[in-house]
Amino acid sequence: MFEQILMAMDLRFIFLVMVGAFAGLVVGAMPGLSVTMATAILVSVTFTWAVKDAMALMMGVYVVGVFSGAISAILINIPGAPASVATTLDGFPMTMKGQARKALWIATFYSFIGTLFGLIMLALVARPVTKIALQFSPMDYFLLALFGLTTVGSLTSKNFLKGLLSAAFGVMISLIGVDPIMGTPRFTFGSLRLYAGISLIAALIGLFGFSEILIQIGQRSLAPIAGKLGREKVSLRRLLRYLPLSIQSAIIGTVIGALPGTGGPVASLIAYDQAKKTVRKPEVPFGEGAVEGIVASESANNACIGGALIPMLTLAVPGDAVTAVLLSAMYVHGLRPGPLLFTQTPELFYIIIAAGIIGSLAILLLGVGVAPLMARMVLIPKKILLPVVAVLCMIGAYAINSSVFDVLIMAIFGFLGFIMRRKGYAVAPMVLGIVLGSLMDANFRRAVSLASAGDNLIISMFSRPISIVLVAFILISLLSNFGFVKTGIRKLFARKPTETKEE
Amino acid sequence: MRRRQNAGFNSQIVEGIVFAGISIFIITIASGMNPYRSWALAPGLFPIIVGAIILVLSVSLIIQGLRKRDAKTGSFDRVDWLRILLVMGLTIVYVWLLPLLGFIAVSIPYLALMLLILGEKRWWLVGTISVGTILSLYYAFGVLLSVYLP
Repeated sequence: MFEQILMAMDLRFIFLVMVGAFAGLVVGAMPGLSVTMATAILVSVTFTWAVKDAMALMMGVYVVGVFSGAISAILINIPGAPASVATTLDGFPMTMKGQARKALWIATFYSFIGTLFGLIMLALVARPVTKIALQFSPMDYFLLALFGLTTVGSLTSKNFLKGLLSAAFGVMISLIGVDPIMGTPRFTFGSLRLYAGISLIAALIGLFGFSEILIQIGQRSLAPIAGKLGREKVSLRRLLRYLPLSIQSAIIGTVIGALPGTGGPVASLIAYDQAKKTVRKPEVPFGEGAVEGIVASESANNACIGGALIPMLTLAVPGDAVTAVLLSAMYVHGLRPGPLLFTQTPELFYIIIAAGIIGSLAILLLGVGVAPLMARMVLIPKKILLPVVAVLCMIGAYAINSSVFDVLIMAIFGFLGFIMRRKGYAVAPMVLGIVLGSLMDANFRRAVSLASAGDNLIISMFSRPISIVLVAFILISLLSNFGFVKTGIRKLFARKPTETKEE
Repeated sequence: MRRRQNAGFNSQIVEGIVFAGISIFIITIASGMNPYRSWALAPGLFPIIVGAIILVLSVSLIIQGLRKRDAKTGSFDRVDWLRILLVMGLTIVYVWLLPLLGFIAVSIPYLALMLLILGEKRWWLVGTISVGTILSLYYAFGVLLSVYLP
């Protein structure tokens, strides 16, 4: 297999991946310009090309585009894509502390590790993972999304209750628009513009980007975001310290990436949540600039790439939006991904892995070479930077659907985010709710509908082994947020002081 | 100090009451969304469940507000409201004028006014940044990335 992957890498192939990688860096770092949109445009540009060239370009955009969402997340607190939401939680605090360069280094290195891990898993365990993913029923998808929602505890450092409320309102917002199952409009109040629902990207830019602008503008001082970029060099030894956490997060990313319809946002948030629970003593607390937070988020969302490619290549079922576009590109080129891929066109499998590996090296090159130059923007005085970022928010919101209504939505969510943040309601759980809401709604109703044919509704819905495991995860995740449970566990594992005295 | 603590305590209760009101509104509307007389696939089923969850959480927020008198609920003490309202007003006008006048014609004055609101007094810099940035963005997005701009 190794030889076949190496054989795919000629100079022209490497050049095309690098061109795609540079485009991915720009597209991924710009909120509103999605990797999905870029690959979709590339399908129309490359449909007359040889399949190897087309895949090289698209994989370059895909791999580096996922990474570069972290750049704007770290520098200006605006995630370039929903998958980078968790990166903002610790990335931006690091920038404000004058550690932007260090944060970018960490994001670069662990995006590389995550991507590489996902691709290795793609090469090794494509078939077994696909078998598990195929066994997921609608109820399991609902439970998986619910499990994702229970991570709000990690996203809200102060008040868990307010985090839950933020997430619940996020779910509610995702239900606005035409119902995906019956086609009935919900909460549109007669507005045709709301039939398509609230644009996730517009809401995301508003809640993170525009609200940040309002918060900064509301402050009397408009000094630069950071006084310095930090000259702290991160040694390889220090970088490698986080490798076990990165592998843990990358496993989560690969498995979740392999489940159709979930993808980067869910993976990075669950990995972040798990990191918060497993890392006992982070250098600084999570949410205040913990390196571990960036490691978890970036390893997971980049490992999702390999994960999402597993069902796409072996079953022709895309794991996320970008792989859905890649799938269509393959059909345009007359290829048939799926169970016959390995017998009919095995070279395609190796081409994709080879392009992914070169793409992951491009992450290192661009992350080390170009990202620090982009980081200099945080040194610009806010009175100049903020208006420019505001215009970028407008363009980002508009670019998704070429809709002025989305710009209005962005501004409304910006003001809402500003009020929420001032009142102690974290905005990340609301984004999580918007991402997962429609997935939960459709799968829950399908599950109830399927189970209503059985004798006992509850048994029919929850008796499958995967469902039981997921319910257990949800309960553990929920209970771990309550103070009395934390204290109980601590007491259980701590030595009793009286016994020590007696000794 | 005492007054500030009480303001925080009242604020959480008020927030809980507002959220409870919204949840009841959601449940009421969603209850009418069952055109097929089968709740299993009814469009209103999930909104009712989410509405009920919001109601429970709102009541919990009110109880928390009543129990924790010294709860810190955030404040707007040090916010420059004039700037915020000016920026929001300007943004609404921008959104309104965008489809009428086009991206370049609306964005240049928007950016210039934002710079002036935030305290940039050098006219040459305001002009250079607003014209230069908007034309560069138009070229990058509209020409290079083929994003349709109004």
